[in-house]
Amino acid sequence: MAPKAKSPSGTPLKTTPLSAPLPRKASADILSKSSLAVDDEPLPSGSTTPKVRKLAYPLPTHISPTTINNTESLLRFIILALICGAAIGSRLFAVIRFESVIHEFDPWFNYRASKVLVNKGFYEFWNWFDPTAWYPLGRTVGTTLYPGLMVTAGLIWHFLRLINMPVDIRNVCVMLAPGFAGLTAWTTYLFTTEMSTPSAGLLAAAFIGIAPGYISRSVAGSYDNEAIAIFLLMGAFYSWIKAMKTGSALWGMVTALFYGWMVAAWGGYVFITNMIPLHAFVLILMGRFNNRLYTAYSSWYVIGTISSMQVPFVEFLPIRTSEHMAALGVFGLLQLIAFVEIVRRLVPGKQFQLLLRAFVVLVFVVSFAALVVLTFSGWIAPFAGRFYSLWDTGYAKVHMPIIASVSEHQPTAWPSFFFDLEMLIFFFPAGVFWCFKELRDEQIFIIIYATLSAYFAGVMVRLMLVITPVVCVAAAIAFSKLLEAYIDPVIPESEEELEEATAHQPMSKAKAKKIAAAQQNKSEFNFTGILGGKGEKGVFGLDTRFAVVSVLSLFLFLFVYHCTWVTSSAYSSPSVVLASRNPDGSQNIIDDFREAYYWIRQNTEKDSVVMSWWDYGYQIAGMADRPTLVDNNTWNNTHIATVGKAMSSNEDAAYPILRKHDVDYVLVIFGGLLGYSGDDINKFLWMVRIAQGEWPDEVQEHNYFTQRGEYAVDERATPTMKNSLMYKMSYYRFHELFGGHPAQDRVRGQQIPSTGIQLDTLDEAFTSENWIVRIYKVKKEDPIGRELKAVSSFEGGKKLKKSASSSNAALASGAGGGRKSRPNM
Amino acid sequence: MWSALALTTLLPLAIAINVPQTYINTAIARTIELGGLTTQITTQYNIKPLDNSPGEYHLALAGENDVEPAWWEVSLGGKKLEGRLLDESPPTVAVQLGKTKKDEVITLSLTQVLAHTSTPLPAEIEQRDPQYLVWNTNSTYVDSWYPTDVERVKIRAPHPSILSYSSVPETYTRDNTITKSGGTLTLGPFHSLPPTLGTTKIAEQKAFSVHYETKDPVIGIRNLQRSAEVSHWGANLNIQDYIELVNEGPKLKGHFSRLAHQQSKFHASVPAQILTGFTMKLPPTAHSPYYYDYIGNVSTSHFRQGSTPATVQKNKKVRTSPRIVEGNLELKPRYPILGGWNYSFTVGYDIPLGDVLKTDSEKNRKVLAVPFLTGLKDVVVDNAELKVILPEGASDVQVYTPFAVDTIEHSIHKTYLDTTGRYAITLKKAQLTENHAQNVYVTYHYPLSAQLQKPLTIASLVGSLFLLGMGLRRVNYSIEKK
Repeated sequence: MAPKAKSPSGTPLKTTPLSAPLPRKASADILSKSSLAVDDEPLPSGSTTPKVRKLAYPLPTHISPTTINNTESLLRFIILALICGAAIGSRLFAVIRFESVIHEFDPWFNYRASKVLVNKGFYEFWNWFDPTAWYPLGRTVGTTLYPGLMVTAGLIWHFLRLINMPVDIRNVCVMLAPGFAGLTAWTTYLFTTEMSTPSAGLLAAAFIGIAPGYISRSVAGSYDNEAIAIFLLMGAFYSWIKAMKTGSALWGMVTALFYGWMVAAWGGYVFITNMIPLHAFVLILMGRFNNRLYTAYSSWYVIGTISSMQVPFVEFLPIRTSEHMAALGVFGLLQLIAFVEIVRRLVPGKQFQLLLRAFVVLVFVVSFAALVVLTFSGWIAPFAGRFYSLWDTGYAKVHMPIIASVSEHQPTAWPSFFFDLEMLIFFFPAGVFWCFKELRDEQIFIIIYATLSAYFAGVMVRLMLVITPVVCVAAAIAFSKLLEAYIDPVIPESEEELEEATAHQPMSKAKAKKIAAAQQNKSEFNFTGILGGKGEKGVFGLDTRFAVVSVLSLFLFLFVYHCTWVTSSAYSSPSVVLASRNPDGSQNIIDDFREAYYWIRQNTEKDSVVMSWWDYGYQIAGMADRPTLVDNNTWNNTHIATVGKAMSSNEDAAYPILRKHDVDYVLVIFGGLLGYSGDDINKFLWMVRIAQGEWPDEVQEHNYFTQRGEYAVDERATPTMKNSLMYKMSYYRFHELFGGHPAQDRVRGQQIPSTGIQLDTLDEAFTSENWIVRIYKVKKEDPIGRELKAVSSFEGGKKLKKSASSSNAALASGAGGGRKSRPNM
Repeated sequence: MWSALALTTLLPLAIAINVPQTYINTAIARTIELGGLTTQITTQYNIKPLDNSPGEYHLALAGENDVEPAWWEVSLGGKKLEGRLLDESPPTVAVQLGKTKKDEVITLSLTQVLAHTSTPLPAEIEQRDPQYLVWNTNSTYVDSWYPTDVERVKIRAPHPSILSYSSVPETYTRDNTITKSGGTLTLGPFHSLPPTLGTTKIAEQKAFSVHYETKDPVIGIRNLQRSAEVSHWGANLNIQDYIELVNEGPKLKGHFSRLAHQQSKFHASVPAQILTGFTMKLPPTAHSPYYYDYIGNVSTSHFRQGSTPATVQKNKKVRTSPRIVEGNLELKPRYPILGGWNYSFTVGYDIPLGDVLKTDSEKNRKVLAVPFLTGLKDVVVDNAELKVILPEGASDVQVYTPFAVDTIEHSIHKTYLDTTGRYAITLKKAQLTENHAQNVYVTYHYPLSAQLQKPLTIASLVGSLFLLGMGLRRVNYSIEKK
């Protein structure tokens, strides 16, 4: 109605579509203003003393509250929609730069499983036994995976088909993570609104929308469990807060449904399983037990546990493992307390109460003891190994080299906190501080969440993901408090002025007090007051406000800039496709992985078994469609160790292993030509360590180091190293590429000896354009029963004496001294 | 008289027709271009009628045990001539030569393309070996139902190195039987050759083979599935090919060595058998091409857009004379394709609909021209399928093919936001060559109401959703009474 009214809120809105940072800033501005407008609204109408309020800048009067309300909700909606858009948009770097492709390793398996679900139906997927994985063991996929992700993608796919939108399942999978990131922004908004104001909610939504800590797991194409898990986490937490606040069984059930979905989707559900009981427990300890808490918790626990048990991979874990016992214990405790409360209400008498309290403590102690006994007697499984590694960071390296070998399981380095969260990490403690200050039930939740996740994020890089939402929420609370303080136009009056006002106006002191109290309530954080000191008007002047607000806006701009840069440079590489720059600046795409995988797919027998290190198992299954020995579902340590042993031992020892496992092709990743550092030689020590774990007599790590303890691949390399299958396959004929010049390994920066490598039991079958993928075919046994070493030396033109038996053929070839002599026999 | 003769001589022949000997070939000149998978044969017949009304001329397309040509065309004085294919063996076409007088010489020319007549020999070679093919035919002489005065057959190999060739009987030759100069073999001339087919005085055919080197990879396409989707709203024709490519040359002996390949690339001497890339010619106005395979986009491709006088005039920066330039799509497979290796992929592009769709305003029908395939030189497509998807609501569909196809199926195809589905026609044919890259014409009736069907359906659906939402918002779900 009034054009003036539009101006403070209207102008930032117009600028919102211009760039990403603006909506956030705008949201802060608008909301603090509009919320303030709402606060102020009763004043002009309610009190008859508008003169008392001193404003730093004029506010439009004569706007009806409904207009303000409507504008506010419309703006909120638009801003939230824009934030969702930004959250989706910032995750599309990979799609735009490369293509709509599934990233990395695990997503390839999820994608393959989704295809099974979509093409063969739900029951086939549920009962899927995959004979091509873990050859020759096979894998019962249906009961060893979290099906939530695939089922979600499958449902979306079916829905789209239903409305005649036959989108390819690959595109559904690729776009799933960005889509759910948009939803996460929305749930975070709801969650934060419960904690604080809607303006904080919008800020939190904007933060989580673009925070790199979350983007790292949810760019388009990273079709992994985490893609939907954070949405479910926030959804569960929001509905839990809602349930706890309202005491509604319906919200409790919604929490349970989110929880059930989360259990089906991600192993990290244990975090919710312990977070909610802990919250309830702390509330009880603080003496804040009430019926709302009881209803909310009970409905969540019962429905949630039953729904979680529907997942085949989880089944009876909720009642049989230690990780789930806290939830059960708190459930029992709540029942007891509720019982006691009822009794207390009915039976007066202090002694009886005391008795009851004693009873509660007794039952608690007894049940805890029972739990311990059950755990030790084996009825309840103790904590899983991965769980221990959360408490003892050195545990995995000693007991589970496979887990330790994954880079994302390493402890977090300090810079990565700043890298992933930028300024939020500084605002985070401030937000937690504000939660302490208010300390309502829901804010306790934030405090617990912050404490727990801060620990976990410090232990494992991967768990940065868990801390990101709470950091965003807490930082948004702090940020919006700051902005509110400095945008609020009301200037708190100093005592002198008040006195002056009372002197001038024959007003009752009560009223003046009331006003003062109202203003104190309004500016409930005394930042301004403290900073400015009494009577220092300058602090409330426009210049101060402008300075602070513009610094904060600068922070926001920098944050957006940082997030975009991190996303673009660090988190948007599909790792299946590599990109480099040509000398002229144009993009050069290195597509060796797919080249080799597609070659396998098109030009080898359908049932030929490919052996590779487990990292590439899912990719081979997904892209090359061939059986693999081991893959990223590292469930069988011995099998992985077998592959490690084959890779790390010499040909004589490796060949029987290869033949016993029907291996037709061996695939190695070699980055030496291009400088691709994630290659197998760099992972080799882990193979050795894992193999050593199973066969300490046959494989020893120290044999692969030089005497000075160096990991060398050049002349200094130990004979064990040089004779290992991995070394031979990586550098086979590598020096010939340099045409007489010294062969340089660009990853390790070492010179490869130019003595040729002879492979007796393998044939080079394919090498990709940049030599990243090298595939070798395993020779069959010689048809006339000779040893393969003898065969190759025979074909190399070296005469064997008739008397030379196959056992000393090795000597013959070594001593032959031809152009293909073996190095350092 | 001839028929009586044929009746009396009861020869145990598969030939059941009697060709009246009303013509004589005064001269036949045949040129055989050897290639990889295809062999192109051009034959000039100089024909002299022996009668004033000699009737149809019977033109044999192949010998008795020979491969039928995958494609053939008869022309008379440069004009294409329609022939009637007789239901006989060997395949014969009856050609109407129009009004002819006795002893007037007519020149008839026949172009044939044979598929899969050359086979690699040796069948397995190593990576850097040259590749040789052997071409086999059962007919040394040109097959004809009529006697021939003079006949000459030229065989051109793609490369001068011819390892061996078989001999020719000296029955009809006078001085020289085979002359070799460079990569060309000339057989004959043969004189006074009796008909090789028919019941009288049959000249005995003899098999002939040439063992020659070829410097191009021998590429075959096992399967080609083309889908052409018409969009009137987008004014676009999308063409998408799924191609299963095979290197049909000699198989690779042993294994592929990247080192050797890179060395030969460095010395610019990539062995002939290796296919590293090829070019597809696209229509001049084709745009937005894409190239992917089962596991994603293949980044190694280049596209040079074609132009027509119209597009050149639009952006006047180009000073060259306006002419039609075809678009070039250079495709490079993910890996070099060696002998016996497969590679399957998908290629697609868009054409503005205005270039391929005309409206027949008299009958109020749309006429759509869809190319059956994109011709690749010397490539044989074993099985091709063309699926033309018409817009939703198209009716009264008729198909005109430039050559006989094996099957035509009509079906309904449902895709984005369809309600009743789109009309789809599927054409299938085996054994296609570059010469089959011709347009298939589809005519259909497409009224305005059909064009409005989709937006109206979607608008009403969305509108009803909003109405439903409005209604539901006004319902009170609370169990408690207020």
